[in-house]
Amino acid sequence: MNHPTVFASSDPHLDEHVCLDFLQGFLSTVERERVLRHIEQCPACEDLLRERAAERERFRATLRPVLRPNGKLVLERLGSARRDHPLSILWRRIRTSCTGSRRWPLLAPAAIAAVFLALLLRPDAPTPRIEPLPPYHFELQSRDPLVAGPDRNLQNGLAAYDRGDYATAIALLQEPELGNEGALVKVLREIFLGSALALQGEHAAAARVLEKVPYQFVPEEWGQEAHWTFYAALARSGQIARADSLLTVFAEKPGVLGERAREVMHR
Amino acid sequence: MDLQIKLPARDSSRAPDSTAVHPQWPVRLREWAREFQVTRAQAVRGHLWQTLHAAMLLYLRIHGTRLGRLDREDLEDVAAEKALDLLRKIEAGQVDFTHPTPGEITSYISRAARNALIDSQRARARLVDRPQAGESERSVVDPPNLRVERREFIEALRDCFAALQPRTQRIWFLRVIYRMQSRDIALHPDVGLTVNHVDVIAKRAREAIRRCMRASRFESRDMPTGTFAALWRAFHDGSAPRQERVR
Repeated sequence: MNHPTVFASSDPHLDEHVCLDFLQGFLSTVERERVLRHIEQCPACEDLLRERAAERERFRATLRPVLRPNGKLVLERLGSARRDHPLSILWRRIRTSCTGSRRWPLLAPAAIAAVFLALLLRPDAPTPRIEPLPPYHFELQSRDPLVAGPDRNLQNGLAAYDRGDYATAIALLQEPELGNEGALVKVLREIFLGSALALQGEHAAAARVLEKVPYQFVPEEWGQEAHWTFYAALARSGQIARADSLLTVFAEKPGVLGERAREVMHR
Repeated sequence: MDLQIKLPARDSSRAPDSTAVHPQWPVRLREWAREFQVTRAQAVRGHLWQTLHAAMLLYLRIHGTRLGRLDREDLEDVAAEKALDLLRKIEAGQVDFTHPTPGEITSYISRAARNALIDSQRARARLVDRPQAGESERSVVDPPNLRVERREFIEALRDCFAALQPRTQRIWFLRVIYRMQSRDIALHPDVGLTVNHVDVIAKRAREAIRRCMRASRFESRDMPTGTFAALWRAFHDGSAPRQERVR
């Protein structure tokens, strides 16, 4: 019986099995072409396949099983797959060197001292700083024709942000009072909301808000800081590849953003 | 020791679906397990590992949507750990993948992933939000002028990409399309360069693509749907499609 191996008739989209078969090279030329033709039309499936392909290449680069001379199969982690903190590696080495030997009583105080010393002397973690945005004076700017009208939630949210009350600012900025807010108001709300979320430590949520912002339309005074906040939110929420990519773009720019990026890259 | 994979209980209430998708990977897994049993070749071990790892990730994701998802790092850790465990068992002859049907192999891996997920969640008690239903449901319905613009952009990008040296193409593809970090690209088995060298090549590639796109009157922008397929063909098949495929 000739079973379909790419698409079931009930669901025209790619599933995880098809992605796996495609990426491992298990599909015939005709089947592979069907997948490619489908993803040309379907952004969701294109995203899925691209994500799985990227993941596969990352694992190819960073994870490999290695057969030790003693016949034991172990996993070698390289690059970004190596996530152990240096202190935990130090501790494991000390523990391994001590276990099963009579040196333990002597080495224990030394190990503890080494851990404390390492804690004291450890360099700052490479986490980009997040600064508040410059204050936005709504009344002065509201003559802008793109602004639909005064939105009390936005005004109060910005005031709360100015006071440093980020929790209140988040609550207010998430709820636009007016249904038909203008383009500029929307951008304004998003950058302050994203910034407030980032300052509250909700980095993943901040990144989700700030990735929608069209930074080319934001006045430089707020745009550069908001864009940097986006990068910092990505980096702090573990989206390292995206953050790294953004940093590379920043580094080529003039101004504060470029200087900061180059400084981080230099470090 | 029980070396056989137990068959999963059949659900008699569901009629067999003649249109169901039959994945190829369990068939290949069985072939490699057979080959490995005879040759013990490192290359075959590599194939087995990659497929086991990808299959384990696949089922961790599938079960994760029902049982609650792990965050990305935990998911990757569990997949790597369990795939290695399975590879060790295959090598030691504790699990036999040379005889079962593809369906039995998928059931076994599915069950292993499910158990691993439950164990991991119990141990770590760290769950993340489930995705919103229908979040990714969108499709391309461009007006005709945008369709033409999209097609022209993709064709220009594909031609610019094809003009790069093969090594530069590979690095640009990994960096820009897969968004990989330089240190991972440097370690990639198809690259094998220093991180600094990767950075230099990636920067030059970006500039070359930007210049080439400007020459075709296109500025940098988000890549439209269809770009990945076009570049995939150019990169993996080394050939560009002769006729229009992006509509």
